[in-house]
Amino acid sequence: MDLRKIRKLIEIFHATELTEIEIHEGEESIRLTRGSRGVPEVAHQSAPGVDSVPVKSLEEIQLDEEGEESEHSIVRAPMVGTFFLAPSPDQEPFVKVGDKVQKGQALCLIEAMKIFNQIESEYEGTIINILKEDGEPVEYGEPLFFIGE
Amino acid sequence: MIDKVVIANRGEIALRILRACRDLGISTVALHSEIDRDAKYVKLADESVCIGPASPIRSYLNIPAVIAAAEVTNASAIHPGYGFLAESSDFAERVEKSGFNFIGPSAESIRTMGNKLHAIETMREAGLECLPGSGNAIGDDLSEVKLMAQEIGYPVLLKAAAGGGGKGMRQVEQESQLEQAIMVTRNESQSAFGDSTLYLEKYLVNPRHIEIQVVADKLGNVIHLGNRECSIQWNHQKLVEEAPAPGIDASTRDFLGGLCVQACKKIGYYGVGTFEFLYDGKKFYFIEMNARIQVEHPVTEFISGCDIVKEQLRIACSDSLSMTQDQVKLEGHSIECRINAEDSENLMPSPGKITQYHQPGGPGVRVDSHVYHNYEITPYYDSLIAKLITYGRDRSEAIARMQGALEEMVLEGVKTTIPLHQRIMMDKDFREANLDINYLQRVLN
Repeated sequence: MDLRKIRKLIEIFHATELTEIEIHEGEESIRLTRGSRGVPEVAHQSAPGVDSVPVKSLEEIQLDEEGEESEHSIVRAPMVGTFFLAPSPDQEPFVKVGDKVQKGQALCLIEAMKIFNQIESEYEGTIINILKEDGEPVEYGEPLFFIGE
Repeated sequence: MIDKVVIANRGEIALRILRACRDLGISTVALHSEIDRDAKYVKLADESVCIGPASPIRSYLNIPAVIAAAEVTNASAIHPGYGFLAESSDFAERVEKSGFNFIGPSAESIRTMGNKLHAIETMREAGLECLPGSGNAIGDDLSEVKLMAQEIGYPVLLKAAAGGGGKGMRQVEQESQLEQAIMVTRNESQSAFGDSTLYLEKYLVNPRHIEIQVVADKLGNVIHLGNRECSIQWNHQKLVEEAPAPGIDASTRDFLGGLCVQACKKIGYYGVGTFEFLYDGKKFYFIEMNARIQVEHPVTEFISGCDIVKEQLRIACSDSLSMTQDQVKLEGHSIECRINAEDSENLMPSPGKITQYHQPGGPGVRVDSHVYHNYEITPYYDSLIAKLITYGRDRSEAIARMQGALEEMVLEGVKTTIPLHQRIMMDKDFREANLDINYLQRVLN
């Protein structure tokens, strides 16, 4: 791949909000990424003609990355459903960023089939980040809270 | 009106449903377990939701998770495919109660057909012939059961009313075996199905397994799409199916099909369904009904030109069927070979990664498959890799095309049933259509 082509690609890359792009051309390939970390492969795994696959947010990806070192501190959704931060709409949220939490303390609710399931913390620590908005749908295994020291 | 369908299944049937929805401009939500996350068919759907870990009991069989996924995606209907929750009347009921359209028969129909004893009673009343002796649950009085068996005549088959998938049945050759067989089958049935009701029926020695496809809408229109030969099976798992059943003339086929249509009308059945019969060369005996789409539906699609999955969607929308019985023209011959990740010698599962994959093509060749290069066949789910279906003007052309397609197909990394299918296609008995349910046993020995 000649240099002009690579320079052109970098320009295109800069003009977009992409965090990574990988292009294969015959035997050659080039991969451009933004930021210091490698990002998990996403784009080139999809089938041809697929465009609307929900891709993880950058926030989540960073979380996954950091999580590799401290996996113990991610609270993941144990079920699919709707995420709620407070016991009812007019009440205070269970927790907010910066709160200290104990093991077994309620963090949120997930509603599935009209049943509200209380999700408790598996860890002791401080809420570093809440990754879902109140009322947002969550999938099984999606990260919800990041709990640090 | 259905604008978004949740596909509560995986593998080739999930892709098949997705294709039918796409044809009709309906958007799709693919549900998947953690291990199926990266499967390509999942990414072809408009949306996807992870509903649980690999273990089916916590994902594809998890009713609250499936319904919650429909809720969070604002879907209007749920298609259960086959297997998993397809024949759970509880599931159908909870789907409807949660305000979604269940793409399948009514919960009541599923419940009736799920109990073989009830199904036999219902169909006998609706005018179908059933095996001698069947239809009565056996009691605790052994001498009474012995009398029943004598009347039927040995050998008899002892069956669990709640049974399915080949479990909960036992052949009894003579009276001395009866008592022990009852005990074992009762226990097996109780632990596998939570119900220990048993019944007896005449055991046919070498019958053929022939089935009739019916399609019924919610407006009372019912049609049949002819028959299928499904005698090539092992451990009650079908391996090769074809339509039409060889040697059954059109008037016999239509007579039996007509009886099935009448039975559907009588019980108010809607959805697609299959009436299964044992055929001893003289009579067709109804054994059970499958209230769902079947794996082998493509052979019927080939000879009838009817897209059965699309009909399911139309039926769920309360539309009328796309054709009347008079418009059904059954032409040509179609064969399906199930390509499983199994050893051709003994049909033992062989999970692993597919390192080379190439699909055959050409006139009259259809491949329904969700796999691709580097796809991993996991031990969590069934071993079906692909359904290879061919069509010809007659049976010999369909066989010739199947032989060509089997030869073209490349599948490396796991053991498959391709070599066995090649043997069957060459086999004299198969080519002459000398088939019965013990055929495959003889080939494997």
